[in-house]
Amino acid sequence: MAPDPKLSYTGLFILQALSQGHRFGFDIMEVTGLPSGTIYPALRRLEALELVTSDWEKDLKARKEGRPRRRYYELTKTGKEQLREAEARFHAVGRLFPRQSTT
Amino acid sequence: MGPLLRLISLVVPRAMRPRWLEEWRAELPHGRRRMILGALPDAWALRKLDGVPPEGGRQRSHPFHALDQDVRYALRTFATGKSFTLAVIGSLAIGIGATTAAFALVNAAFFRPFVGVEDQDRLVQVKIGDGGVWYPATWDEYERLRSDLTTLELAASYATDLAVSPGDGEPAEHAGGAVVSGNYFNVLGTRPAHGRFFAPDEDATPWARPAAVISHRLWQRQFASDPDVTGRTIIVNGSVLSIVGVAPEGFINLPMGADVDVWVTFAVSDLVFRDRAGRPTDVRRAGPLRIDFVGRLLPPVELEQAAAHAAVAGEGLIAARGTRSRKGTSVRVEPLADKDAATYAFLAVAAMAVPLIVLAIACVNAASLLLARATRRSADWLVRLALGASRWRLVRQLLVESLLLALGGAALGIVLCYWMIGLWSSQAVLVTPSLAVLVDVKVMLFTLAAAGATAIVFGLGPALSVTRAAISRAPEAGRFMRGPFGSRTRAALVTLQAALCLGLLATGAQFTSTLQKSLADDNLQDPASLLSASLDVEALSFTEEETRIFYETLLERVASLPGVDSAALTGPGDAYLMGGVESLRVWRAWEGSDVDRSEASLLAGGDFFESMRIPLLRGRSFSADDRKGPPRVVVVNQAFADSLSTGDPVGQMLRIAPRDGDYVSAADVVVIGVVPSPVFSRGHTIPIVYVPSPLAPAPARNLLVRFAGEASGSVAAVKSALAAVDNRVPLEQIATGDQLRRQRNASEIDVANRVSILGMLALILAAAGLYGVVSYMVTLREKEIGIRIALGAAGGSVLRLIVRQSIVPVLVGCALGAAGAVAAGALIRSRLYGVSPVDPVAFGGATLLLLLTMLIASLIPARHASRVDPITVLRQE
Repeated sequence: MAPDPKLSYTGLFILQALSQGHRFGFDIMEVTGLPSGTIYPALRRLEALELVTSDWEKDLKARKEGRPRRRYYELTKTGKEQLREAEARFHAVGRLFPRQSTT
Repeated sequence: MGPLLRLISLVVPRAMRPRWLEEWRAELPHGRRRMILGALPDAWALRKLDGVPPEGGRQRSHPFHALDQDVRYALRTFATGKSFTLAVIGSLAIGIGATTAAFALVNAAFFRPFVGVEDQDRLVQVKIGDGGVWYPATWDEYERLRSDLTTLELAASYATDLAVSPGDGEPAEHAGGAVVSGNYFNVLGTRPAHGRFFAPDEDATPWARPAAVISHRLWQRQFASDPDVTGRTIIVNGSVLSIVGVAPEGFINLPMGADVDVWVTFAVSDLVFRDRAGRPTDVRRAGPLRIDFVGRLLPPVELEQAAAHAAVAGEGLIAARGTRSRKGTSVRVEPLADKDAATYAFLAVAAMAVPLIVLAIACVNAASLLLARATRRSADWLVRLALGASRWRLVRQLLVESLLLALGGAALGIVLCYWMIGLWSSQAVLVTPSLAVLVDVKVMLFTLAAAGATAIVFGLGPALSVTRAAISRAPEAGRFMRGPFGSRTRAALVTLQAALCLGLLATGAQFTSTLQKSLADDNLQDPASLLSASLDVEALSFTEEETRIFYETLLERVASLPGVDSAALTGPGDAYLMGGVESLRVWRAWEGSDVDRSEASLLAGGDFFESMRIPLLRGRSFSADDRKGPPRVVVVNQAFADSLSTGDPVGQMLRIAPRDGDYVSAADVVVIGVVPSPVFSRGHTIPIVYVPSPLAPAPARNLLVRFAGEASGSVAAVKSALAAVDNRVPLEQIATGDQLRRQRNASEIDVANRVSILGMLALILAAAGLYGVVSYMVTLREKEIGIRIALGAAGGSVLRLIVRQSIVPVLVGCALGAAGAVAAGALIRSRLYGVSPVDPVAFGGATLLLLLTMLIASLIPARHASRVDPITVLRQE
């Protein structure tokens, strides 16, 4: 599959963040440093393009931690391919974010 | 922050909103201030992306999503409740059928474009007049108009009666005819069904190529649809013309819209036109004639331009007419279909009113059945609501069901419509166009629209009320019906039906009884043994003497036929006196030559008084001598005798002349007898002078034959007597006295029949409605009835309970309907002569019929209720 020309730097950052294990909106925001007004719409678009899919966190876990359950995003197969190709094209990008260690 | 988030969430498509809120509630605690800034762009992005499944292929909710499910579900429920389905579809079919039939008639009468006419909007009528009065025009004026009006192509048509026979020796019959200009069919843009139409110059040289075009109708009737008809000939007014073409089926002569069977050109105009002395003459010398002009606007001229141009271009023509027209007269160009919208709308509404009432009853019926059934299914609704169905979804389900029922009703309604039109046209004496012509695409579309509207009318109410009940009174909905009749709505529906039904029945009964009275209320004695027929020798161009001999011989022959008591000849028209009446100038001897009055006169040739069974009050009747030559004696009726102020009317001298005669040429006559005055339907009498022979040449007469027995079987004998005298003369409008009566009252008979038929249909509807409602009530109250029986109620008392409760709304409806019918009767009393607003017999009969029917309708389900087995019912709990 040819690289999607619509995949912007923002999209690339988000895909990278996801591949590093940063799985929900705020986490992605923190690690990329992009504003929330950019992150969330971009996630919707990536999801619509089927590069990203989302699922809800297990109820039990959220309740244990005493917070609303989170919506977790992860890369689809196409998403992973897109990310690989984009990384090959944008050499400078490199690995920007640290792997998530907490969860 | 919560309220702000909820506000923003309104931007998110509704289906995704809960999930979106949940996600954001989870995200926000991490970094409040900065985070909320992202919510609005996010919400907006979702809105933009609407239509893309946000999560695992979830379908977005469209108002008509999964409609096929509803349809399948509806069809399944119809299959399980067959009696319900049949009752609703039957009800609706009657309503929709009646409305469609009425619309088909209205459509045919008012809204149908002319058949076979091309680009009808560009056709115009050209008239010489001042807006109110139209003047006859001469042929020269037509030719002048043709050359002066450069904005349009002008054609002329003169409608007239013709005597037509398909071949030598075959009896002639009268047919509508038209003398047209050669370009007539070209201007209308009509294509012949067979052969050709006239060439534009075919009217130029008299008798160069004597040709005729015949109607599709005549082609079928007299030429047996012969495909080679164009080689054959037709005898028109005694002359042989060759048939060149056949007009398309359903074509009517424009601009006046007459039914025409034979068209000829002005080249043979002397077949039709007569000069002042009654001799055949060419149209060019016939003087002013009632010629109709029809024109086609030449592109790109529009109507307004053409009208403006004609007003100016016609000035020369108007000036040349001189005093033959009033001031303000001009040449006018008007659209062909000059439809006065308001009048047509009123007539259409009037014709549609009664069928629409029936449709209303059908809707009420269907609504009541649907309501009862929907209430019964409220447990269903509750489950569906609990599973997350929206109220719209439930309403939609019910609407789909009602729409399907309405479509079924419409399909059956079309069948019924054909049947009803057939019924009307067989009962009505009026001529009704054939069915094939009546039902067209427009009518079908109307039926569909009616079905759709009906579905919403009868479906929406129950749908809304039931779903409302299911939502608000969720736990107890559908368990027990409250009150004696379940709900006020249902009682109101039955009341309304009974009221509408009684209103129709009583009005119909009143119409019918009025009609019976007015039918017998005429001056025709023993109508069954009287035969009337009209004759006209005008087409044969007889001299006055030949005419007299023809009629004398005919009278002799007919009078000597076996079974004939007497025979008479009177003026043209039916035997109802007024038909053959002509006006006459009468001078009284003592008033001198200055004072004359216009009086009614009637030709009483042959044994008129004997044939009409009019007794002589005084003096004597006409003798054979009186009938020879111009009248010297007259018989007057009592009303006329009363107007002669002095002494004995018999023996008085009068001076009489035809309407256009004067004192000098008038004839002195002696009154020799007095007969009773005929009483006309509104109680009036008119003075009549009976003359033994015509005052002026009268080629048309009416033959009256009084038989010893029934007249209906003796038509052939009279016809053969005529053929023996002269077989070129057609015998027209042959009718017995009974038939004359019906023809004369055709429109009243028609109305009475329609109202009665609709009343009977309404009765069937109302009975079916009550039956349905009571059955449902019984089913819904089965448990209660079971308990009653378990507690010791006897079957009979349950029966009485149900019948009593179901008949109460009927009684209320009867009272309302009676009041309505009285009001309607008072309104139409101006048109119903001789009937009091309340006809006790008609009302009593209608009420009794309604009550009996309703009693039976409620008794059947009530019997079912009285046989409820308490154990079976209570076990279901």
